[in-house]
Amino acid sequence: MLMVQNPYSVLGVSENASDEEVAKAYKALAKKYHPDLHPGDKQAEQKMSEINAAYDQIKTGSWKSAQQGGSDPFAGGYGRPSGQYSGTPRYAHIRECLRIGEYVMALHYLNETRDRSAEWYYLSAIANSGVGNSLTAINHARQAVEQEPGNTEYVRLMNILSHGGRVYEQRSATYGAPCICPNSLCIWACLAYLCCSGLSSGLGMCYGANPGSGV
Amino acid sequence: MFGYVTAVKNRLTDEQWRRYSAFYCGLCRELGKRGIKARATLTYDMTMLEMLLGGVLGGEETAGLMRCPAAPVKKREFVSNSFVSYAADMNVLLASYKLLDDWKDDGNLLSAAGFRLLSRAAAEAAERYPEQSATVKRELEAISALEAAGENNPDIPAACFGRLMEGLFSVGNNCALISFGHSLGRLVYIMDACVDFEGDLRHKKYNPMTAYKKADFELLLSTLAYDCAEKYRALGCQRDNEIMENILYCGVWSRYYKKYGSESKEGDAYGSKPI
Repeated sequence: MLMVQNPYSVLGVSENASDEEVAKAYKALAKKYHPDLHPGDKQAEQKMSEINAAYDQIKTGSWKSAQQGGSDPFAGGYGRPSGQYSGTPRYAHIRECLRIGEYVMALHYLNETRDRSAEWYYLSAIANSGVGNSLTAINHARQAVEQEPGNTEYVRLMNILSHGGRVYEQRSATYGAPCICPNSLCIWACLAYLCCSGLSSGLGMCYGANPGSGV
Repeated sequence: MFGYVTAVKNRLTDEQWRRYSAFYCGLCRELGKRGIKARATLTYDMTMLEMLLGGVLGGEETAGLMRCPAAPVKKREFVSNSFVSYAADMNVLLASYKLLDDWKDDGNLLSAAGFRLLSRAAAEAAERYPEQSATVKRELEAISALEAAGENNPDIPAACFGRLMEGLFSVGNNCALISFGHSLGRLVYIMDACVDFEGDLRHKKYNPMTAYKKADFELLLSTLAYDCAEKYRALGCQRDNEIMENILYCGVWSRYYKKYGSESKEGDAYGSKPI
């Protein structure tokens, strides 16, 4: 989804607002619309997405620099919808950076453009992953998949980025940390299900962690 | 951000727990040489630092019995390795800078008093380890600035804390240790942000995870923890592997599950979906 809204309007601040005013507005809106405060409310989720994107645009300055006379020299040509990923000529230079491991340079080019297409998010995910920004990488890979669910390359990236977390969860299950089940149920429930049907009365200790409370 | 790098007692054998506790006592004993206030800053976090440095870089261990000021009746076992003094200095340094940070952010005068009392021990630690001191100061200041500016990309302040931890692990010119330190720093920072998340959101306070949903936390934290665990494996640690893995696979989640775990207990215990 290309950002055509004025991010300052989304946050309800003037275009001359200071960084502090922008941050204050963001916090107030987050308190109002954050999906964790409104479980199940799809509109809140959508709104929060717009708010995050707007804040991101203001922070990176990508809105203002584009307004000041097109510092988007790579405009023209958009990502192809679905099917095998082939990429656009627009981002050939970024893909080249990623290929040779120049992630910082790739991020620099990515932040120069206002575009937030699926392809942008895909490339950003790879670049961020390369510099160790795991959270941003997963977030952006997810955005790419959400925009183009049919794109197998984007799905593959998402799987690769999530792989480590899944391996970790399996390993930590053997240490007695709660397994991360879809419903976030306690480990005893999971073990009970796996081992024997309805056997375990292990409701007792879910996560009886008693982290070294003194010697 | 103390309190995350800790082991879980009931997932260790008695012998492992005794050894872990003995190191904790040994660090306390070392801190005691720097004064009463210094002793009060004792953490399991720096105990882990000491143990890991010994496990990777080697060196002798000393063991013995000591009197515990908190429980003076029976003498306690202690164990220390060649990095105990370093760990004590790092403990005091971190405690001092954190207190200073609290004072600047919250105007908390109690913290200020603590800082002043600690400052001789901290100043001496800073003199012995100027690079670490400069790193801790620089990165804590950077994080403060980012938080004040409302940075909503959590990877950025997390990277600062990663660099802070790199500094602590910059011993013996070991790149693998530095890399592990960075990874652990990122994990601890984000874990802390997730634990504080609900409270901060409700009170309109800054939280680096504002742009994320709670439902995503476990995947994200597991991803960071995975990186940490892999970097740990690459260290080839020769001692106390079980204790270290307990910390990395179990202990780091303690405060998180203490906060959010009760919700999962209310879930359906039978007929649940398999892993």
